[in-house]
Formats: sequence, C-alpha cells, structure tokens
Amino acid sequence: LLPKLEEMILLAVLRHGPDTTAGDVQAVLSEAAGREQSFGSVFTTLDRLTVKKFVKWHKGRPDPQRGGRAPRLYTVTGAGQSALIASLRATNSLTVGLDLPTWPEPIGVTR
Amino acid sequence: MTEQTKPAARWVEEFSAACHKRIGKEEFRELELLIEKSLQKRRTLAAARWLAVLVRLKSGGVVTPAPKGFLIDLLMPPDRAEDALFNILRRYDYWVEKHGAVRARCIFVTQSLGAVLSFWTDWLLKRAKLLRFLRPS
Repeated sequence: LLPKLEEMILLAVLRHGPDTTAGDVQAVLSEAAGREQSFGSVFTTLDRLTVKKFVKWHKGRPDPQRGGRAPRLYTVTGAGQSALIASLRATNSLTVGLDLPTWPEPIGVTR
Repeated sequence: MTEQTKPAARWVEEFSAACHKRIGKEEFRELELLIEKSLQKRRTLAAARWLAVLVRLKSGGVVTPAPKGFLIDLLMPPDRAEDALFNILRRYDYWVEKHGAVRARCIFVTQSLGAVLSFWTDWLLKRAKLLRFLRPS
C-alpha cells in the first residue's frame, strides 16, 4: 500500500498530465486541500517516488525569467500506475458496505 | 464623483492596471481609497502624496524585488536547489497576486525553510536507515 501523500501526489501528476513540475503538483494539492501545501513535503515525496521508480523525470528547458534555472518534469511510470491502482482498490474495498452519514464528494462535482 | 476627482480617478485606473501584477490587489485598493478620500475632503496635497506613491510603485522605486533564494542555494545540493527555486519562485508570483508583497515574502521564507529542513531530515533518516522502520510500506 502507498502512503496517503504518495498516493495523492501520484494522482496529482496523473491529473496534470505528463511533464508535471513539482510546483504544478503543489498547486493541485493546495487547491484540493483548500490551503497552501508545503513544498518540502512535495519535493521529498517526489524524490522517494523516483527512488521507487513510480515516477521518472527529465530536465526541462531553463527559464531566463528565473535565473536560467531548469525544472524537473515528472511523469508517472507503469509501475507507479499499477501501485496506485492497487492502493486505491484496497482503500475502496474497505469502504464497501459502510453506511457513512455524509459521504465526502470531490470539489466541483455537482449532481 | 465630482468633476475634480475625474482626472485623478483616471490616473488611479492607469496605474492600477500597471501595478496589479507587482503589488497585491488589497494594498492597491487601499491606495485607491486613500486618494479618493483625500479628494472628497478636498485635501489636494494628501491626494498628491498618495499619487506620488503610485508613481514610485510604477517606476519600481518602492516595490521590493523577488527574493533571490540564497537559503536554498546555500543549503541544498545544486541540482535539487535549481528545481526547488524554480518552483517556489514561480509560485511566488501567485502569492504576491493573492496576498500582497509582504505576506508573499513571509510565505516564501517559510516554504524555503520547510524545503531545506525536509530535504535534510529525509537525508538523515535515509542515512540512519530509520526510514524503513518509520514507513513500513
């Protein structure tokens, strides 16, 4: 099973599409959580996911507006997708048959 | 709005468009209100002073530049620092727009410190081989 933050970051990278920067991930997580997320946790979690080979990255183009610095562009690997699906499936299996008083709905979804 | 306030209001609109990206919307609105109040009370000198502030903002005299990020450059490996600074500085523009320059700078420092501390904490945990025990997955 994946830890919650790793799961959320994999989902954020998938949601944003290939060549996602850590800043994009932080923005997606901040929007989902409704408060500013820590860059530190995003960087370390992305490093950890890279070691596990669940994401891979390559250098992007240097940006002259930011002192010629180049970002890392992340993409979820096949192994990452498999791990994410397994983790989500395990979480879902735990919710089957539960009668929760108020089931949380994703932000922006209207019936 | 009286005839007297119209030219000043036009000034405010022009500078508002030019400065919105550089200082926060709230700070700018405060300046606009100060000018309007001064003109309503026929305090021309006060209005002129606030207009001068706007002129200085437009010319870059008052606005503090984006932070350099020395802390990250100094305390993180170059490869990691380059990516971290790119991302935090890009987000800095959004913070300035949302919260204003002063608060954006505070958030920048907090996030930079957080990034440095997280990096070295993770590094230490890895070296001490504690990571496996703390995170069994």
